[in-house]
Amino acid sequence: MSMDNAAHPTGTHSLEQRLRHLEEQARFTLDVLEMASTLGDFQTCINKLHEPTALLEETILRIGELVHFSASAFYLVDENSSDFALSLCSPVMFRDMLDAEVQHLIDNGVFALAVRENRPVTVYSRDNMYRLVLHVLATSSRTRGMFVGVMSKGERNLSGILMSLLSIVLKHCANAIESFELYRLFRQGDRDQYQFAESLPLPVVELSGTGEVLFANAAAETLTLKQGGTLFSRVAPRSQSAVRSWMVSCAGGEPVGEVAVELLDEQGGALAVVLHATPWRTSATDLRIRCILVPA
Amino acid sequence: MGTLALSALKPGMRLSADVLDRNGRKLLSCGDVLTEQSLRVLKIWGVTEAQVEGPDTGDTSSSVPDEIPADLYEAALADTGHRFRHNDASLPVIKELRNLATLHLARRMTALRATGGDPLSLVRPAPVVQPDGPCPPPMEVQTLLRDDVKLGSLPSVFHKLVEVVNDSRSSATDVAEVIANDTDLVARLLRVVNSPFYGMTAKVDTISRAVTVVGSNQLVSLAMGISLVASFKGIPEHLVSMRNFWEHSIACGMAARILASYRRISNTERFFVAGILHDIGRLIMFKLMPVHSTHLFHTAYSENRIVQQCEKDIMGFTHDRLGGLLLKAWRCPVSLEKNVRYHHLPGMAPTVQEAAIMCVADVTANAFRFGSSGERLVPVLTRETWECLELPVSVLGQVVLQLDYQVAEIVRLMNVDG
Repeated sequence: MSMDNAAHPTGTHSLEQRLRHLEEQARFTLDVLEMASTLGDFQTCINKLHEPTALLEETILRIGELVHFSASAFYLVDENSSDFALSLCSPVMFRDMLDAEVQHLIDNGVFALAVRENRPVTVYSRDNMYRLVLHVLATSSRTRGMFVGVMSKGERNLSGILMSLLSIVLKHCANAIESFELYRLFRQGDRDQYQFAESLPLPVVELSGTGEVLFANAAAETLTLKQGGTLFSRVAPRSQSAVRSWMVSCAGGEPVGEVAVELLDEQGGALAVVLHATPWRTSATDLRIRCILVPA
Repeated sequence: MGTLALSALKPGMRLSADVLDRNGRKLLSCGDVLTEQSLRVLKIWGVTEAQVEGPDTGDTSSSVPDEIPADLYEAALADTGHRFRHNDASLPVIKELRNLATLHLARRMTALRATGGDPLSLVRPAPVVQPDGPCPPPMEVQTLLRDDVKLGSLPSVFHKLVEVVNDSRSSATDVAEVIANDTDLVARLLRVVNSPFYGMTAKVDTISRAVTVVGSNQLVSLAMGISLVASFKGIPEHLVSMRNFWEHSIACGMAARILASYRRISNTERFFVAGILHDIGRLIMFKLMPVHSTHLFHTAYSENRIVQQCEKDIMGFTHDRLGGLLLKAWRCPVSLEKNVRYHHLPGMAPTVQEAAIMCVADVTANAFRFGSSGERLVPVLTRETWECLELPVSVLGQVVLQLDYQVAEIVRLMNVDG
């Protein structure tokens, strides 16, 4: 095939050039691999965050090391409405321009294409002044948002390697956002439970495995059970052994129902209650017991 | 209860079923009243239709907008009816395509009238060129394949490519971007990359990977081949305008890629390559058999037949077969070869769904007149082919929306001048 020969010059100069190019490529590859291996290390502690902005800011810094974008923005999925909302735009002055461009891309279907494609999608802005790089933020289970980078038209295009690195950074970012979101849901779930317990008219307490009161709702305080105290200090002497016995059952994972117990009131008098208890473990060593105490 | 396409959904309508995206995320609930925001959400997630309360309209496309004058709509309707004459009008997918194509054409006619142009010029066919003398006998496809077929290209692509390759800051992506826009260069590049010289264990079927393998330096020699530039200059304009051929190929490639993305098929770029190359056989016919080609078009146009269906009689073989054989001879990937080979007969392909995507993409590009490779009528789309895709017909409206935007952009960026 004559074309093949023409395509591959064989002079010494060409071979030297090719060798230099390959050496350069090998050096670059090592750099890139090192960078790729650290791209997932977020310095932000995810389980202490209240909103993911810090993660997004860190991601923009990481991306900035790879590619020069005139502006970068993150649209995150609002889990209630499934809409994409602008969560971060840097610098802020591009905000209106990006919102308008994104609305245009939503209307012409390119945004939906970028949501489906798990790689960068490059389009030109409406005024043809910029190139917009769209990349979905998606984990294996869910789409979390969209990254939009703005490049001036004169800026050189992204190489295949940079595109892949961008995908890696954004994949890590999506995973971090998902972790954050799951932690937030855990915390929210926890808060919701205690708020619900707080609102109940019946006394509800949560005990540690040693009987320390970890939580007591308002109704429980009428039984003199308060957070920070211990259950045993409020149990009448003749009920102590019964309480110890059901706590042992709970430690074995067995719920306990309909146990008649006498508590002491503030004056030292007896308050008869019927106790229902359910154990649960936050870890192998941490036992919690949730109790409802119904006045007899 | 009725199913309406996205374009027909309006704020205030009430949903009669949950709307989920393709991964099962619940976007809107049954009973929700549509708002501007909920319509935005549907567009974001690529939802193409929804069920709303009210009578079933029987089709999913929108009604005639007020801004389209009745006479232009009628003219567009008549034209679409003629162009779809070989398709089964009772099929839902053909109904949808016809409705969308009619509205699309009527809108273009309205816009043309608004700027003082003649809207009927869009539907008036160019005169059929009379062939000189009798038609030569059909040829054997192997005769064509025996020669090392040289392909041509668009000069502007070469200039752009040389510019990119000579720029020290340019990257493989820049090169790929330029090459992806040239039918001939894609073919040549893949041919080189898949030649024994590179000893690749796996066939390369995407442009970006090809550029990585070949290296941009080698592309210079490909691009600088003067013979390439000259080779297509010989194709008479009455057979095909290279600009139209180009636009048709780009549209087919893009439509195939979009449809593949709806099917969540990975590596969608290879569909773009297949789309760009799908009519390469026809280009060779025009170049090497111009007299036959003139007779081919004369017969097809004057008898209102589909060009592809006349090819066997007049040329001796069809363009899809020739294209497939060429790609095979150039040792291109099997999937690429088969997708080109069977884009008119997907049922015979080893991977039916992939070939069906190519077929639907080609029909779509023809139906909406995104350029042309010589076909004036809409090729046949069968129920079986469409059903292979397992997509709702309302997807087509979204595909056309994106083609309108992206094909024009690429054609503009390419500065294609024929």
